[in-house]
Amino acid sequence: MFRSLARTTAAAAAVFALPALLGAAAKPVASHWVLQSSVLTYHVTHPLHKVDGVSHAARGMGVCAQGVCRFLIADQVKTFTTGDSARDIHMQQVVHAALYPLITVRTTVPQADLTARQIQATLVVQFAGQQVTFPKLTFALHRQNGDIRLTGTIPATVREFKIKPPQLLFMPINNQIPITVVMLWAPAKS
Amino acid sequence: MTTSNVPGLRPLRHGANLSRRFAVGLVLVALAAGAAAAQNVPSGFVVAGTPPRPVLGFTADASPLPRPAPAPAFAAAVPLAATATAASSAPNSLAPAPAARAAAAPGASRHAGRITADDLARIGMVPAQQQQKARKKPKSAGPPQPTLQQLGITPQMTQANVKAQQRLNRRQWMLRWHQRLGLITGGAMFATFFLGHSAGPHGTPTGRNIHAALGTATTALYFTTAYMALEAPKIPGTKPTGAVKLHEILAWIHFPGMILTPILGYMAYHQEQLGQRPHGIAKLHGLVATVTFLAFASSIVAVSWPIRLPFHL
Repeated sequence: MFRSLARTTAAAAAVFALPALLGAAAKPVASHWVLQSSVLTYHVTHPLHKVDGVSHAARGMGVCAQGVCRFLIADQVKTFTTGDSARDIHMQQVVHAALYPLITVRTTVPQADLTARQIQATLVVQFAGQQVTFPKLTFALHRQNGDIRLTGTIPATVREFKIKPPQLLFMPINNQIPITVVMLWAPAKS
Repeated sequence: MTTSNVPGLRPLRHGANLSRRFAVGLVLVALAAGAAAAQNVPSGFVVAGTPPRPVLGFTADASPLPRPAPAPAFAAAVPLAATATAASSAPNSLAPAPAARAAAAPGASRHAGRITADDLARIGMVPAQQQQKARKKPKSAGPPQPTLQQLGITPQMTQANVKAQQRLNRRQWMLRWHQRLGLITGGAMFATFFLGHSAGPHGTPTGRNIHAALGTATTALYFTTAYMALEAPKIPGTKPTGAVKLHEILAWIHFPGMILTPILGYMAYHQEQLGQRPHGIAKLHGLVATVTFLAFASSIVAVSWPIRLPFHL
């Protein structure tokens, strides 16, 4: 009698506990993501200078369905600042910011990859009137209370965006203008 | 084993056996005729279940249109009319092909001898053009791409502003010349400053003349440089920050200095011509020139600051 009761209790406990344990182990990935905050930094190197332009104003969202997530990130060129207004205006002029005021980045990633520690994504970047694809870039993912902190670098160059390299003292800047990306994505509240 | 040896079955009579063989032969002949006729199927038709043949006008398609279950391979290879014949002549041996079902479908009799688009749609075949369109636009899996509107970015924010770009271009062109002329002015100013010693009380008339000529050129270059900066279009909503701020503050020193220095220089030169030592306010020519030169040199360094020397790691 006692043994039967104990067995029943154990079975009931297992039935109730199992879904909770499974749920904790494999937390479902949110279907909608919103960019909470971001730090995008471009790095320009000149023989006499090293300049970093930072923007905190990027907007982004991601939509997941059928195991696929599509992300769109957009930022205005004029929100990038180096701390020197003359240099920022110069940057806006060389990248034709008045004609192409927006930078957009689109990517599609498998939904399951959002739970991994790093992700490989192919980015399609529209900037300065050009569209450039950066295939299979690796970004690190850190989960923080359900949010995802993404960090990585986009190895952009001046030449692929057909930007005439600006000069200082008759010396042009280096071709490489890597963009460091730090983003905090949070599940969208419906 | 013959049927006559099977227990429970009556041995067939020779005549009945012959008629059955004849019927089977007829079916086989009909099938062979059908297979031959399949080569002559009106171009543009294949039966659902066969691989798509784009060279034909119509092909089977995995389109949103309702499509019957895949037919047996045998039925798939058989043309419409022959399949119908075979199906009717051998009712239990073969499953009816979709085309046969289409022919037997209600409404098919209305278009005797003709196959309409409705009929094709009913059996899962669509025109090749439609199929090609469907191929060109594959139904991508996953959610729709997020839009800029969803991010709160209005069309005004993405609109190109040609005038603003022209203003930026003009501004940059003028500032580029400001930079170039500024460096040339700096060189000329340094030369003038250096040769100032040969124009003083212990100098020579030639030295004074060279100093005066260089000073005049420096003044002309300086004001041209200043014009390029002052006339460069301003960008609305932009406040000077960073190195350019110090560059502009220093201009408050060297700009008046560059007005005063030539005036004082002219006065000193005139007094020297009269055989007098510079006196009065003309005495300050050297001091004002020194302050102006230092302010101007600092201004060049300030706008380039911080300088990362090439040998820095």
